[in-house]
Formats: sequence, C-alpha cells, structure tokens
Amino acid sequence: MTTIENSFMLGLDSNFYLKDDFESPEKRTNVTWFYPKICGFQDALRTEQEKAEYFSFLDRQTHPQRTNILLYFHIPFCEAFCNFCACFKESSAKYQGEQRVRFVKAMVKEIERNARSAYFQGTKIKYVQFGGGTPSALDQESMATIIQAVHREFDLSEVDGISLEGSPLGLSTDGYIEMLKSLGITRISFGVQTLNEEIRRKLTIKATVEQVYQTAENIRKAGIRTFALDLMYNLAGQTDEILASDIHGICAELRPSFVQTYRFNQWEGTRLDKQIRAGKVSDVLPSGSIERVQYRQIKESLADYGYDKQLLINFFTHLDETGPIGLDHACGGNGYRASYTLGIGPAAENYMGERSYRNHTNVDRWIKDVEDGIIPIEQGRICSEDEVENRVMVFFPVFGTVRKADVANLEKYRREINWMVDSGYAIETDEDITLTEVGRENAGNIAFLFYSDEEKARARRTMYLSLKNKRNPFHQDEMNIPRTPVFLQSKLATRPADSSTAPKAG
Amino acid sequence: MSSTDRKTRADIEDDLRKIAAEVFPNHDVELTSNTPLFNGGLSLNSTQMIELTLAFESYYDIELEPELLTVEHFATLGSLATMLEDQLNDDSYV
Repeated sequence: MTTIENSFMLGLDSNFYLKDDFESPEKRTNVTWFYPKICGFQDALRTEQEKAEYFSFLDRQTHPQRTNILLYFHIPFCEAFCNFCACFKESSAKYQGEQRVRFVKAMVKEIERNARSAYFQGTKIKYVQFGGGTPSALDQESMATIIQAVHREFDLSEVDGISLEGSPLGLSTDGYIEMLKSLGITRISFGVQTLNEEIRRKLTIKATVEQVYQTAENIRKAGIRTFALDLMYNLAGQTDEILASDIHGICAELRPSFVQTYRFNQWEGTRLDKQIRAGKVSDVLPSGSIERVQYRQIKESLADYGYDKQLLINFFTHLDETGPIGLDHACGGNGYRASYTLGIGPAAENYMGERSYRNHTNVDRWIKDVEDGIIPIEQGRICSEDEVENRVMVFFPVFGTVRKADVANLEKYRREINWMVDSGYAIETDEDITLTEVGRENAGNIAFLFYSDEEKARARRTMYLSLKNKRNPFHQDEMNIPRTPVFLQSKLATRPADSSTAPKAG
Repeated sequence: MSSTDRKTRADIEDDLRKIAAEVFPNHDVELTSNTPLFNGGLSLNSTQMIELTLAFESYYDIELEPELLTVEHFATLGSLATMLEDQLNDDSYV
C-alpha cells in the first residue's frame, strides 16, 4: 500500500536530496505548481486595514508590463464528488436558485472591480482559464454571463486562448459545448481518469463511459480548437493491462489533442483513503513501485500512439504544431517566471509580481464579502526577492528545461545543479539546463531541491499550525482532507493530564 | 515546574522514546541520544516530525513556538531533548 505521505511536505527534510533513496519507490512526489505557498495562519490578512494596505497597489499603481497576464476563474462546484478527490469543491446542488444567482453576480462584480482598477487599465490578457471544481457544473446561462463579463471588462485582443475544464456530465447537456464555442472558448479539457467501468464505479465517477465518448465527439463536432483529456495511473485495481487499455481508448479512439497524466495521490482523509485503510478495497493497491512502472509505461505507450511530444511534465501531444495554447501559464503565468495571475472566485490563488494572495475558500464567505464590498481575500504575503527568484528553478521541472539566461543568480544554485548533473538527472549546456528522462521521472523531487531554507521552515510551520488547528495543511480550508493526525486518535492524546505516566506540568 | 521536579535531559530522552514508540509503533529502531530522527535512524518525514511534536506537546502540556521547528533541533533524539529541556525548565512555563 502507498505510504501515506503529505506530498507537499515530503522532501522538505534537511539534505533530502543527498539521500540514497532519492529514487526509491515511495519517494516520488508531485511537481510544484505554486511557490512560495502561502499560509492561512502565517499570511493571514486579518483586518480591513491590513487588506487595504496590501491591496493599495490596485488603485495606486499601474501594471509594470501590461501584458502576459493570466486570468484564472475558480468555479468550485461539482455535480458529484469522486471519492479520491481532495480538491476544493462544493456541491452544485447546494448552490442552485438564489444562491447560484448570488454567486454569478459576485463573480461579475469581482471581474469588474479588478478590471476597472488602475492596475489593470490598459493591460492585455494573455490567457484565460476556467478551473475548479467543475466549471461545466454551472448552468449555461450562468457560465455565459461570466464569460461575457470577461470579454466586456478585459482586453482579450491578444489572448492566446480561453480554456475550460469540465465534466462529461455538464458538457454532454444539449448546447453546452456550442455555447462555449460561441463565447470564444478555444480549449476544453475533462477527466477521463480510466475507461474501466469497474474502477470508475469504485472511484464514484458519475459520468458514464458512453458520456465520455459522446462528449469527445461533441467537442470535435463543435470545432473547438483543441481538447485535452486526463488520464490517471496507479489507481486501485488498475493493472498494467487495464492501463494499456485506457491508453488505447484515449489515444486511438477518443484522440484528443493533448493527454494530461496524473499520478494517483492517496490523500489522507478522502473517502477512498478511508476505504483503503479499512481494507474495503482489495484490488491491486496503489504503490510507489507500481507508480514508477506505470509512469514509464505511459510515456512509452503514448509515444507509440504518436503522443511523443512532452510539452510539460504531464502534458503530451501528437501535434507537430500546437499553436498558442497557453503552456507558459502552467505555473501561474509568464512561464517559469510565474509573474501575473489574477484569480477570481473562491479559493483562487493570485500572483501579482511579488504579491501572492489567496481568495476566501469558504464559498458563502467569499460571496458575502463581495456583496458587502469587502476584498474577498483571506491570506496574502509580499514575497522576498529571493522567493521570487527561486520560482524559476522550483518551476523549471514542470517545463523540463530552463534557459540559464532566465535564472537570476544562477550560481546560487550551483551545488544543486552540479548534484543533478553528476547524478544523471540533468544535462547542463552553455545555454540550458535540461532534465534527462530519469530527471523527468523525479521532477517533483527535483523541484524541492530549490526550495529555500526559509521556505522549508515556513512549510513546517504551516503544517504545524494547520494540524494544531485541525485544518487542511495545504490551504487551511475547511474542506476535504479533514486531517486528524493518527496519533490524536490514540491513547496518548486521550491520556488525562494527571495520568501516572505523564509528567506533572508546572 | 519547580526546581525539585525539573526534568533532566536523560528523563526527557526516556519520555521521547516512549512517545515515539507510541506514535510510530512500526518504527522498530533503538533510539540513542545520537540516533538521527530523519535520514537513517527513525527516518521521519516532515509530517511525522510534526506529529511527534504534537504528541510531546500533548504529553508535556506545552506549546512550542513554531520557530523552534528547525531541522537542527530535530536532528537527533539528543538535540530534541536539549531543546525540550530548555523549554520545560524555562521559568515562563512555571
């Protein structure tokens, strides 16, 4: 069974990268998509005065570049919850009627507030992304209202594309995809995960395989420029044969422009995690060694089907020329420099130069703050120059390569670079540093090499404060991963203070 | 804590052995003062480091300042005991 790890924390230990077991089965971890992580406790913006000072730049400054801005919209609703998912989400059934109207009005109000600020005057948006949750869980009229507001308020004349994540449940409803096409959506992605009916049932994926095929067909018919499908691996019960069948179905039958691969994470506290721990899942269980084998299987098989261009660490295509598809915005805009992302909606994260902030994760609180004219942000920090500089090296494993000219103070990372090269994880030339195949396989671990000591210490404090306060250690939100440390359920935690084995305090 | 029931470093190490055995029952490692808590030895990851922290906080009924969660303090059982000795015998905890 997969050792239960907190992937964000794994690797933050001192000298982690010098350990002999860097490539051990259980030590492969996720790449980093957001850096530095902000913390609901250490970076809390508690008073209106603090917020006002923090956000004064919106009215007092103009955007320094006026371009290369990513707009991200977080739609936190899902029609059904998959039992493996630890993402921030709310039931779309709970937000119907008046609640739905309030949410959409709040989204439009936030679009207007930001777009009309001095900071965004004269700016041109480079890419727009709708994520979640499941954006297509919004009804057509609501979604159209939000997209129209984006067109109305922001300058999209130089936009590379507008992408939207969805689910076959919403996307397969009559006219949904056509509506998206008519409003300028250029890319649709959705999660297939697996085409195996039994595993889908066990993962409580509500969309049927038939809906998956129908949705893919509808996207193609509608003439959406590109579409991407998600494939998961190392799922419980997903043998190598089933994975081979999944890859065949996706690459040979569904034939998307892009395949995005995701390793299964057994997040502590998810329903599936509880079932596995309780012994209720008796199939081939996820494991670190299976994960590594299947990662290699996926790479080889995708190449066999023509998906041999690895554009990002988990993003493959069969296309020779993809055109502008917003890859530069994978880590928050402007490539690995990750400079400017405006996130709108509950739980959306933002970068504005050295500012890094996060919207309220609680949907009701977010709506109310917007309605009351209060900035709906709960945490934000002004990053140090060092933290901003580090982003390039922390993010480069996502892209697989980095131009040395883009790295400020390259020699600051000399020890780590030399170690990567000497260990066969990267090749260094006069111009670039590029991960090798084995480097790509360990890209998440490599990202951790470039975390600053201060960021590691901050991360430890974040986890400590989160666990103490029984909050999700990733975003400190109240949802998902309702982490209760195992020991808190033990006798140790329940031992009375005056127990004979406990020392007397004070 | 009065001067008569001050904990020595050796006492604290003994406490930590018991706590670690209870929190990590599957870690079958003999813990000496010099046993590393991370690489080799107890082989904790960062999550477990925090869980150990919360466990001894509960045991001693103390709260650490988050700034004390340094790799140096958690390097070995001995270094952790030294840090805790300072905390437990600090007059501010009286």
